[in-house]
Amino acid sequence: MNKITITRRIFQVVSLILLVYGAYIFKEWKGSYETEQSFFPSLQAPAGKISTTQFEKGSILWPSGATPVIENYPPSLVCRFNPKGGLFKACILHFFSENLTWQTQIKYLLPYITLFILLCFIFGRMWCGWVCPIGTVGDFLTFLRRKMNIPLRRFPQNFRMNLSFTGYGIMVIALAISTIIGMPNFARYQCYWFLPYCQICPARLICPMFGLIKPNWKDFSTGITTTFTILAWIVLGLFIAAFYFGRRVWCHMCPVGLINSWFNKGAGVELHKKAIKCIKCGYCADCCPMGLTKMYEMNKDGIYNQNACIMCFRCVDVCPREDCLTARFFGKRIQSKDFFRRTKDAKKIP
Amino acid sequence: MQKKFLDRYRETIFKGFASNRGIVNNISSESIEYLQETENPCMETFYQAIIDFETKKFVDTEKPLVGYFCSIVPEEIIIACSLHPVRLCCEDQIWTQAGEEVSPGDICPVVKSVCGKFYSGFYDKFEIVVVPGTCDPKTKLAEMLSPLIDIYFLDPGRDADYLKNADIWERKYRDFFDFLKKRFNYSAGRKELISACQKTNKRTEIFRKIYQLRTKNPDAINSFDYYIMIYASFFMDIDLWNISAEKVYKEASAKEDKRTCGRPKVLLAGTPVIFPNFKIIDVIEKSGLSIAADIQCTSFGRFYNPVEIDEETESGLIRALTLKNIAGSICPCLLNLEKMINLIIDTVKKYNLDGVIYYNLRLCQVFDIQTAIIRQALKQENVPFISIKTDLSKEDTGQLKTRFEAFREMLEIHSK
Repeated sequence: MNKITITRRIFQVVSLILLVYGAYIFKEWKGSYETEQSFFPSLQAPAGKISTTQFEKGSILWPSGATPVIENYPPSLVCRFNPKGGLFKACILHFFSENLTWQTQIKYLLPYITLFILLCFIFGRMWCGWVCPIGTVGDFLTFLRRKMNIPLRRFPQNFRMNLSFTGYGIMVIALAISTIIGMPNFARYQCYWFLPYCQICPARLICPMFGLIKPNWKDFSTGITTTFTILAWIVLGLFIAAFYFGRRVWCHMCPVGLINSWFNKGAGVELHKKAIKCIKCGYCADCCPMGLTKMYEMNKDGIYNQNACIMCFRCVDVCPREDCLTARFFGKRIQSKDFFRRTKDAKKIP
Repeated sequence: MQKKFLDRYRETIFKGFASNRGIVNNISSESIEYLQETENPCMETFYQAIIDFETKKFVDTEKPLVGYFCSIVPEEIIIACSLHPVRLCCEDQIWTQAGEEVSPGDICPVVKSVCGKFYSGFYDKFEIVVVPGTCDPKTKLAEMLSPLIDIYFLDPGRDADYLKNADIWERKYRDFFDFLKKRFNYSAGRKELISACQKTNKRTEIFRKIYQLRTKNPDAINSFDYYIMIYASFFMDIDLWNISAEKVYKEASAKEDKRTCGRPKVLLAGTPVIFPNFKIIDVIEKSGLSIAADIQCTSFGRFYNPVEIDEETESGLIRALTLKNIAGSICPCLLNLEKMINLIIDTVKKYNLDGVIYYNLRLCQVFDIQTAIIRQALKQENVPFISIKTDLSKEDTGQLKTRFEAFREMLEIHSK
């Protein structure tokens, strides 16, 4: 275990706590967010128009057939945090799905999309490796497996590529459904098909448990909700199996990760390889949680940000050659020599 | 599983060469001279260990002895099974002559001297010998030694590509681990593996310190001492080696003067230098060059990489061992010439060395065959390069000295 990984683990746990309990921990902020407005007052949504205020204050509505089921936002669902209008603070897929359904005008969304793209251009897919709450839960499952001495299951490259195609498929279907039910003719289906991906997302079932709140985990009121419930269970099972036996296989399929991955090449955070230092030992390919091997294969100096890379810098950590792999931020090295020197194993000496 | 070679003819062969047995050569006087070229009092442990080993006193250890060749055999697995690993690579003129009874004259000198040692009964107390199938002579060695001792043959394949072969290597190492556990009735798991890896990682840490110190000031620990420490690690207990080497390092770094080494610093690459055959070091030092760094499988290739423990499961540990020992290996038997060239250029640039000496032991073809390519590649980077080919005998010492002196003069002109 090296310092960079320890840092990442601490960051993940702190992020999880903040995402789940943030609203409780910083209660004094409540006053300020009550009155929070958009960053751009001119783009403030007219009252009653934009539909974030459709939610009851402090809760999110899961329309399920006739009776609406209400689930609290933090500490129940980390997916969105959006009191009384203001900035959308939500999972990007959640954001797109609901706004497609409500047919929000693009000018109201533009500041948020810009912010998202800006963050993506700076940090790339770092969200997945360092913040994502269900990624943290999954990493804990992986940790359990390692302690229980169960060998890692490695998946072939084709399988992983097919997974990401599946992810794109699911994303397109979910966004298409969201668009269709936004049309006036199909508005009556809104109460069944609202946020279709979110209904089966494992985060919906896992995250409320941290807030000691029972998620809406069984809903057999109508045929559609039954289908969604069963699908959600299957997806949860797959999620647990994927993280327990593999490392981050799941993340190849996650639509949020896929959206983030478009910005990975050319992001501010860069992985750089100096080919002359490489002795082809394969540690970087072997330890990669996403099973990526390009870092190992390349024989030329350069920045190798791959689409699926979650920027965990594990490869930088385990590389036995000093200066071979480096993490950079806009071309500048971010490791200071002392900070990322290994702690327990053989010391890297400059 | 362990394979029995020459099972049917074992007795006949054993009896046929019985006349060789009982020859015990004492350590030669020339070798003793090499042991005395030191200023560091802490080296005493290593000298004593070598003298003990060469006079067969060493076999008093309580743990069963397991011999092996090459750095691709996982020492950590042998240590984890509570056995004592001994690397048997040997380049001794005296044993070579003994070995020529069994093996032909124009064959790898390591095989000849090892055959000499085995057929003379020098290694009688070994329980088992692990022979890797890295090069052709080693492969045949497995069969040649099989009438005398139990052999485990470990074949890593010749392609050092992680993507193609990682699973195969893992399976082979696991088989080896299972075999040792069964053979010696010892139950070892990941705890033992981890503690073995920590021992070798500790050794790597100390070795890196020594390596760094020598690149700055080669006189701090002179080349003879350095290679003697390397040779002692073949058979010494790893904990004892760590403690003694740490002492040597502390002694050397405390005395280190700021004065830089006046002689041109060179990198020694190529065939490994093993104890009694220190002719090449002797000649290099006497002709006014100093060996500041080396890239050889006995020292750099074996010690420089740590075992990076990524997954602490048993299979994860075994996989990490394969990566350290096979994928990261610099053995020219595997497909890794580019890595070798990169390493040489990188080391020369990083430590500001003046030139490269590429040492070919005669009849070791794998090192010899890549010399021309390395020379051309280094030309592009403007690194002075000399390749020499020599054997175990001391006849060409004067000739070599002339060549090295010419090389030294060239380096001095080059550096101006």
